[in-house]
Amino acid sequence: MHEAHNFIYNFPFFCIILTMVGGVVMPFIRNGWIAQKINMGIIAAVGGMNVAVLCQLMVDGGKTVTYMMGHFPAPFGNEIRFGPMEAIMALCFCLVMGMSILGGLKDIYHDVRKGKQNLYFLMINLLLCSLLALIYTNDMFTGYVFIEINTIAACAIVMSKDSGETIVATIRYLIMSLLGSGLFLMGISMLYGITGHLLMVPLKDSIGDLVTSGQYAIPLTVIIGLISLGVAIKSALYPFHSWLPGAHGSATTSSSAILSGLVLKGYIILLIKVIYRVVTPEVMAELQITNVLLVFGVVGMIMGSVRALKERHIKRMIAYSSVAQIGYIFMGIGLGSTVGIMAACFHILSHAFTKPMLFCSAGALVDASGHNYDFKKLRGSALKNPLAGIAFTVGGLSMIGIPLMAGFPSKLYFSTGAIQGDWFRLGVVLTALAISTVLNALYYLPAIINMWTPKKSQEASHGHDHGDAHGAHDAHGGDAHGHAEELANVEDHEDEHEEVHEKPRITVSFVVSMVIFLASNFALGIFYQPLMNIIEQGISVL
Amino acid sequence: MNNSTNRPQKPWEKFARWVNGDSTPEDSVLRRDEFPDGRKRVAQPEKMIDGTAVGRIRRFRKFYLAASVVICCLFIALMLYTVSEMPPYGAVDVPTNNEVAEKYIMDGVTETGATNIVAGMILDYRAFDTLGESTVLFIAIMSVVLLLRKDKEYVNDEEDLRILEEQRIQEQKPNVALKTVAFIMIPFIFLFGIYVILNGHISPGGGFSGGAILGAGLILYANSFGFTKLRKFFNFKVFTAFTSGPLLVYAGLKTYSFFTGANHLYSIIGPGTPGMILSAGIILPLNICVGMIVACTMFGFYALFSKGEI
Repeated sequence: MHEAHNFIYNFPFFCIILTMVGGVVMPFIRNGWIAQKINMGIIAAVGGMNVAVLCQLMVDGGKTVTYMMGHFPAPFGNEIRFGPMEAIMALCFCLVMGMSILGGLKDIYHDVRKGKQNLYFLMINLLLCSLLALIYTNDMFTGYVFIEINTIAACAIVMSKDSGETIVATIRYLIMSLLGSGLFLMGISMLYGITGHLLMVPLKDSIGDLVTSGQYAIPLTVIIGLISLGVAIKSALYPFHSWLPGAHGSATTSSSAILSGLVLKGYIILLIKVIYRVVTPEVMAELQITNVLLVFGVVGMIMGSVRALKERHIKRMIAYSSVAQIGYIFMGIGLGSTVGIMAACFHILSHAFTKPMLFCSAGALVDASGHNYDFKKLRGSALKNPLAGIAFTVGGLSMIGIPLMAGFPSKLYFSTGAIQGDWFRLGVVLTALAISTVLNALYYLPAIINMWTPKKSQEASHGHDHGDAHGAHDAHGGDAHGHAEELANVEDHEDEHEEVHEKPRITVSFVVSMVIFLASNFALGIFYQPLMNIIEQGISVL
Repeated sequence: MNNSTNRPQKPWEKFARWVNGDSTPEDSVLRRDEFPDGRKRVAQPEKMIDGTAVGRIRRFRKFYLAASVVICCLFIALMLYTVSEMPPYGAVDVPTNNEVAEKYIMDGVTETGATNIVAGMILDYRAFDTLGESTVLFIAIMSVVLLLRKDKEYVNDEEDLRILEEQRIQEQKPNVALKTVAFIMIPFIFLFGIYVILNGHISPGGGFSGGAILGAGLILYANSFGFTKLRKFFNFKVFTAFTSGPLLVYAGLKTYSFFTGANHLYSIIGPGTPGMILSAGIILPLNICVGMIVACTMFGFYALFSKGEI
């Protein structure tokens, strides 16, 4: 642990303040287009600053830096603290955030009401601010405050697509998310009760003393359980996932991408920091909490995929796949070894780069097939928008774990982590990995085959009845909203609509986003070793 | 939906249909009966009238009630047991009575200049958390604006008629008692709110409590004299300026303070003479900022939920 001396070490603080100010000025900017440009500029600036921080940290030998927020040192004032792990996470989060916005830009302008688009970008800026603060914080209560911001912003970007479906999904999401926050807050306040500290470094010392003296053993177990449970609910670990498919499946494309790629992971990164900086992995293992997380993770890996298998709504299928991937991450944490945590961190990144690509490409494919979410209607959509088709294919294959793509190294490291453990864990984890991989293939491959198969001309355009046409409107309520005079005609035009839009307009921002996502996916899949070295270095000084 | 589902199929055909996405398994996709503009959804008979489906929902409801009661009882028992194991509240030798609390009490006044130690703690020692909390208020009110504020492009005639009717009734019935009391009370309420905010660093109170008083005054004014009268000096533009502006000032002031603190630079902000109105560094301006945000948030919630407009 070192004090900040270099000017570059001010950057993480600047990142948090810049994104916050960027969010706060948004109500003054009435035009959604200008708001989007400002938002993009802020994301680029924050990304650039994080590159500088990462480089400086690596030049200084991969150390951790403590940055005092104010004039008062550790146990009295607030602090942020960052090392290579935090810097690389923040950098990737900025990149994914920017690309998710670009990839779904067309849908944002389409789904969010014109007068309120600036508020959408306000939420995006504050969401980035809270994610950065969760990554950098060295204080439990600061973590909680920014969890609150994160919760509200995440719900707001779901409901910004104004339809009944999203409102119902948002209410579910809000209730579950607040339950998670509440459990986390109870954990923190009880932790303060038995230690008298809120900053992570003094907390670690007091907990070490408590464990050696055997004092307050039961409250300590309950506290760690509450904190883990709160994080598990907020990041949709399997039995607590019920809010996720609705929220991620019904939101606008960019929101789905950001929610699944980043918001779920922010909490997990905080949990990893709590495990390493506050509780220590040894205490976690001693209290059997790692084993519980392992079991839940393994169940989630399989059940998430089984639910995805039954799903015929493309975005909900991708959302259930997220449940399975969160299971992978918790399984990595549950292994309790450093390799397990490293694999979990790598999987956070690989999933953060893959899932937004899937959501953005699925959004474009849905657009290409006349705003239908059913697999049946999506048939042949990849031929209309080949770039989106390629991105979806690569994303799906990456999720399955085909070599050269981002999903492969994380599965490799999960297996490595399992081999280092005892025989029981080895058996459980490898079996779960095998089953989950097969299940992943079972739902991604049919989807991919389906969208590359040309449509049978007659059946496709006249095969559906009015029930289906309404289903299509239902899924796309934001479109119908407000255009009262058009509504009567929409049903009749539905069939022509599909025929006319043979070639959907592919925007430049979408191409940029997809190309960068594809490139980073292959980069993660092929050149994963340097990244793993940074993560390993980061965890060793966490 | 599909006519072809009725005839028997070979397994291979079934698989091909599944790959093509033609077979649709029953699932609990979120259901919605009405579109936002009032258009009714066409009922899907096989899902809604289906006896087993309705029965399943009923059984699930019973299970849900029983399970929630059991889980709540278990959780309450666990919490009671845990609290009984915790250090006793208010005792002398508990872990919370440590060097942190001691320093806040012993050195708080000299280091921050605020005789109200709580103000010193939340706006100087742990100012970053309070900046986050103010942002929580800001983002909460902005998400309500995003959800509820009426749009000029998407008007809802029925809703507008209802509000006009309410206004007409309000004007017909001159509520003399309310108006007279409010006329006398409101200046004092505002004065008291401002007093609590300005003396936040000297006496108990501060931005959060004073802002709540101001917000209550605004709500009382809107209720007794009507929103149209209030909008003459407090419209959406003023509201935006009074919500975003103070937060920007807060962020700016604290950026300076954090930057000088972290880099061990000389800061022009000193604690001043404790007990004076112009003392305690930037705690006074921060209290004013927090007060404005809290007042706007309180009034904003009330106005948006009742009228959909500020």
